[in-house]
Amino acid sequence: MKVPMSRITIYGTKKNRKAVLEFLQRQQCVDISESDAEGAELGFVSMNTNDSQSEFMREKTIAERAINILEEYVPEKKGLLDSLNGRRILSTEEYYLYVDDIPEMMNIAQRINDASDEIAERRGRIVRRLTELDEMQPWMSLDVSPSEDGTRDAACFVGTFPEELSEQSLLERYYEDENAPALHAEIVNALPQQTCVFLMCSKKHAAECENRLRAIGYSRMKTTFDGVPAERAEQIRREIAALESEIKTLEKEIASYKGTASSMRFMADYYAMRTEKYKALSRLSQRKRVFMISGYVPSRITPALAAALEHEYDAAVETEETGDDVPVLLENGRLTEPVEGIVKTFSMPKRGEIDPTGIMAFFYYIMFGMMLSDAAYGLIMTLGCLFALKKFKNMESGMRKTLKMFMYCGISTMFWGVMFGSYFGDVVPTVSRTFFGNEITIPPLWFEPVKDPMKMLMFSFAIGIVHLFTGLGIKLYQCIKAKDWAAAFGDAIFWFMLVGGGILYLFRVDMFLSIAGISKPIPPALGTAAAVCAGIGALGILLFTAPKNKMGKRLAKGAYSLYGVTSWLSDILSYSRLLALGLATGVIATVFNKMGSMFGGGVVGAIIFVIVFVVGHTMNLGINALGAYVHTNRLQFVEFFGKFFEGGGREFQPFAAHTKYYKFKEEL
Amino acid sequence: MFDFNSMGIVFALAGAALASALAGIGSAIGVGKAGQAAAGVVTEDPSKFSKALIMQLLPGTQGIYGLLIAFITLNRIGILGGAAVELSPAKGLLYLAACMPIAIVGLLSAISQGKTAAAGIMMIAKKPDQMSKGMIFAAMVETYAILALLISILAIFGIAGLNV
Repeated sequence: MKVPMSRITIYGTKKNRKAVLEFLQRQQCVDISESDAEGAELGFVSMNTNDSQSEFMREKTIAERAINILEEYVPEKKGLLDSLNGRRILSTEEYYLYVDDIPEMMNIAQRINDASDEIAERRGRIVRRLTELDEMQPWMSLDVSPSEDGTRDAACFVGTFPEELSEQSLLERYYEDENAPALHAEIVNALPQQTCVFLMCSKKHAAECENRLRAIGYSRMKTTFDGVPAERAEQIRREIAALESEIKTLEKEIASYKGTASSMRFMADYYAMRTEKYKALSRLSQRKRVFMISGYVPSRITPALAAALEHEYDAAVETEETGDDVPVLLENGRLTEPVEGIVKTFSMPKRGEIDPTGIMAFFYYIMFGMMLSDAAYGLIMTLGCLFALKKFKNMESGMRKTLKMFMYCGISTMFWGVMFGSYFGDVVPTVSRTFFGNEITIPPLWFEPVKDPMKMLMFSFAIGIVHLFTGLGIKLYQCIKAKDWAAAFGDAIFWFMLVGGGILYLFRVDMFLSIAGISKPIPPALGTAAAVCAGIGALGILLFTAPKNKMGKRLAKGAYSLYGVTSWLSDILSYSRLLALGLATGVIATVFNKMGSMFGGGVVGAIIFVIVFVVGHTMNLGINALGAYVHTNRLQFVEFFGKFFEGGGREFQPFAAHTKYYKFKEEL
Repeated sequence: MFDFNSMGIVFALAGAALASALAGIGSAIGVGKAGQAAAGVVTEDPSKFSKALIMQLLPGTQGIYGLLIAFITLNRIGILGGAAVELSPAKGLLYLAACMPIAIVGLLSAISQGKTAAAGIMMIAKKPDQMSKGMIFAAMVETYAILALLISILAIFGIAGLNV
């Protein structure tokens, strides 16, 4: 059900501004609207808080980054189910202790951020040094600096040839011209693509010598380092060692802040809260001494809220019953509330639409149960969810609702499992036959779908028709409520007649009867009535879908709408998945039981059976529960919602403290 | 000695084998495609692992449907459990034909569901809260595998009663 909303406008004196805002943030019940033009005419201006907001965001980012860094270097131990634990509740005293610590902790957060940056910078330097070492590798046996240019009389060159050469082949090539001046060559390193050489000649021939060498492929080494390679390499290794020890020191420093993680989380929440408050502040319009703020509040708490504001904060409160852009808050009973999340993931109901949660919940549980349909699986789901709900008292409400939904789905699964006689598939007969030699079966309360799939198929279609007609009924209700009589007939009543009459008439058709395995047709009179009803429906749709148009267009639109009867056919057929997925669970469970029992009775057989049983059924439950969830959602979203629900409403988002790590107690 | 009259069970087994093999191949390809997308998203944000994994699993069901049909067929023709049934060649071919819908549709729908799931995983990367919509997109593809499964099941259950 949609909670009725009222629009309130609060007027107060400026000295109470902060107190009023904090009061509203604690109450978490006002969805504050943007300040409107009406206020501007009265000389109200809104405050620009963008700078403060971005400053708080910055601090929040620093704290959050510090949390991540701490998590990386000194991870806290987490259990598998810890994510079910909700946010920790912080008492007022603790809150103020943490607030007092903020300046100091902010420095530490900054320091953690910097230390992480410094580590990254040093890691980068190490990589660069290692690259340099790599480049030096071929030159390691050179015992002079590559920038060395010789002695008083001798010139020397250090460089490379782009091929593999030996000392002899190099000199041979050089001396091909007999006039070439004398040259001394030493090979430093020879590889297929590159030969590193050290060459020497007399100083006065240096230029000529170099030209001749160039002609045969020599190029001077591009110096990336200075000094004798071996010495330089040693120096680099020392530098790397020094950088590594610096990194160790920094890591130790970060680790030493381990105890501050909780303060970091507090700060992240604290600044998130302040950002939110300043955002609300920017929506508040003010004049010299007064301010005003407006927003939506659930109607039932409006009087109490107004009274509190008037008494405690000297504010004046104005209440209107409706507004243009009313946000939507869903509220449902204990049994139906858990599927609110499913509706939310589709969309919030817009204006004029009802909240489908309550009706949908009923079908949701039934369909999920039919698709999984195994009593043992249902029991496991129910107990698992119940255990988690009991153990984690402080769970977040979204998670709590999801678990409750699966618990109810589990109960429904148990119900259908008993109806269809499935307990871990056919584990009871299999075990009794294999290990005790005496087959015991648990008969189904109703029938076994594997034995009579046609009956199950007809039952699935019947559920589908009920589901679809319920959706159409809601459409009718919405049309009547909006006094849209044309739509009530054109989109709902005539469809009821056409589809309902058509389905009823099928029970006179021999082919359908033989497929469905029904022996007796309905009385002829009823069949005729059904056919007439369907005919009137079809005619009505043809004529009254677009009654305001001219005749030609009206008929064309009507005919197009009538074509929609094919979508009814596919919608109903779509419910065959209830049968298909239900059979899949049962048959695959049976496959695993059979696999387990293949090794016969006895101790070894029993051990193998237990292993296959546990692994197989865990997998089957997991995959089929996922399948049941996805396809139940689909039947709701596509088939059911398709009949009446568009969505597009805005969710009620009260001004509150949206924190990630802690919950703050009311009295704050 | 080749005797056509004894080939019934061979045809039926070929049907079962094709149902599980083709649908299985389809699911393997589909789950593989979705898995590649999932790995990419998880590299950026490891906390999306469970959501990505659920999406990755979606194209896996066709393989299970194929297995289901194969199993029912094996059971019916007496290869799995119970004594072998006398199968005429016509009946064997009927089983083969009955296995075809899930074999073919399973193969192709799992591949295209894999693509849809991969796109859904990309959606999770940007808007994790919209996950259920991505799941629905993938489930739309699966509808056709379910319809094929339904025909295969109904056909196999129907064949037993035929007198050929």
